[in-house]
Amino acid sequence: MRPGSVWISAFACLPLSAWPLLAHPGYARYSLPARIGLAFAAGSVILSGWMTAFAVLGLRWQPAILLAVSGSTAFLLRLCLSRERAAAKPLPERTGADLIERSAVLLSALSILAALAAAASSAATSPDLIGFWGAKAQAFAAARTIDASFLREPALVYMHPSYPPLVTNLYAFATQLAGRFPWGAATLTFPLQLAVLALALPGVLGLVAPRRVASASSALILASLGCLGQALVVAGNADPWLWTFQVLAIAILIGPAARSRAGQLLAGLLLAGALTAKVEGLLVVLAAVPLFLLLRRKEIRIVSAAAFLSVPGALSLGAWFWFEASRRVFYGYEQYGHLLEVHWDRLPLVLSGISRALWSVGWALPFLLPIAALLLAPGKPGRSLGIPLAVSLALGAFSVFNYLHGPADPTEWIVWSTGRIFTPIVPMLVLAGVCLQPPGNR
Amino acid sequence: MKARTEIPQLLLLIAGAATLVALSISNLPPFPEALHAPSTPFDRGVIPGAADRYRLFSAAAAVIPIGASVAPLSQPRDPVRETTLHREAVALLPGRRVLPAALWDLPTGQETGADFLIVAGPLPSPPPGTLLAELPQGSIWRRARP
Repeated sequence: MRPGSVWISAFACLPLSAWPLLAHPGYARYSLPARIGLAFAAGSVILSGWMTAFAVLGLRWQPAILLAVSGSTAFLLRLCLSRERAAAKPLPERTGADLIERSAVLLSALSILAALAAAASSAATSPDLIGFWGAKAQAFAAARTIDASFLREPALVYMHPSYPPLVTNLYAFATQLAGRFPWGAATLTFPLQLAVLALALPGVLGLVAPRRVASASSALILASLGCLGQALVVAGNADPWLWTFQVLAIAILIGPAARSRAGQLLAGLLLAGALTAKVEGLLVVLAAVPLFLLLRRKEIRIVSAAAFLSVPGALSLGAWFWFEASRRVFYGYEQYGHLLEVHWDRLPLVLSGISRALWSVGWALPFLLPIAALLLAPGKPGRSLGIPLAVSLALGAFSVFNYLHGPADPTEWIVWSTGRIFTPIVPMLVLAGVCLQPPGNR
Repeated sequence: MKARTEIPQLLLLIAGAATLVALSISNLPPFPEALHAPSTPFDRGVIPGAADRYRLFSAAAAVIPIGASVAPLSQPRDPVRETTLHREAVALLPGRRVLPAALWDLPTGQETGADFLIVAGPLPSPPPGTLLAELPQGSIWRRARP
């Protein structure tokens, strides 16, 4: 097999490594495709977490050992849920799909195919792939660990040594199996992540809203992310990974699955994925977890829910920060300017720049259509609505705040970064619309 | 009060998804062109000249041994271009020690310590050493040591 084929096929190990957990009856309410997609995401987090832990401990990466340890971890996590066996009720038998559902499936498939065509034809290749994601992954695969000396190299500081490790870890894992880093195959992670969402999201949302609403909402999320990912050239970078973790985590948190320990554990793993995929993941967690615990406190056991939601992320990010600090790579995250030095006078410039940047992507349709869908949602605001809205607000405010205290003139920065930073808000708006279903509709 | 129906929302979700899928498809390369696999992952990318440099560095990777030191230069010399060349060379020449001729758009002079030079652009004059390969995008040299 060609290295590119081996590299992309290596990601099939991810759902397999997490399957012992997702095969637990606590997840029986999800369809099989949903469980496969969720296992992919959970497996990514567990495997990457162990890769970081091995780096902290000074152990070299060996793919077979990493997979064995990840599979064992999934099995141990399953044991945490053993008492939930009786609580899981399977979904009622599926009846035939109606026109809306069939259209949603078709549109989702077309979104993935369009993303695949864009990536395979090199029309969506991210400049950051060659800039740092691929270069770091390749160096780490060669070193069989997170190479601290590479990250400390002053000439390579442009590679953002503080960026969290999940994507570079997983790329390095696939590179070890393939023997080299195949640049073209790396761009296919963009359609791959859309495919993972397409597998998992309708099933997860199907517990929150009627199947038709769940399927149609999933289709709009996939079409938006596909369109934005292509226009903003994200193929090969970490954005699609963040989308997957964030969207699935919030989709669980707004639904009934989040009442169970199985749902909370899965959401916690996915939030850990968001945390270690991109810096913005920290905002997602800081906005979503406290609000979930506050808004749904009557439905859950606060202490155990807080633990299930927070411990995977705390361990994953903690291991990364520990590695950074102990190897004198970095402390915490990079900052743009001084935190409290905010140039409020730039606000009009920043807001107009953001508006122009969003308009430049398909006349802002990927942003406006989810807002319209939210406004047309038929139900009254429920408790869960606050979670996706708070995440949207946190991501938007973070972006504006960064631009207000960054370089002197942020215009160019806004042009190339705004679309990508605002993209994770789009699925949050669609999920907010899913929360607005009349009680009889759920 | 009568509850609002979900139909308008459903129609908008589906119509919105269809619109965005159509937008994605319309932004793809023309169909016959898209059927041909690109020769590099940057052929239709947003970085000007990235595909040419990818070809140059791929050719360099075939002739520059692992462990050697190498510096990418531009012809004519330009620290802005050489900053970009260094970043791409680090990615595309794994296992080699890539010395920056420029960093953050400022010359460093570190190319003098390199065993090999990759020159993007026309052939340099005078030649900096032994020519190993010449491509439309540039040339690869083993540096002459005094």
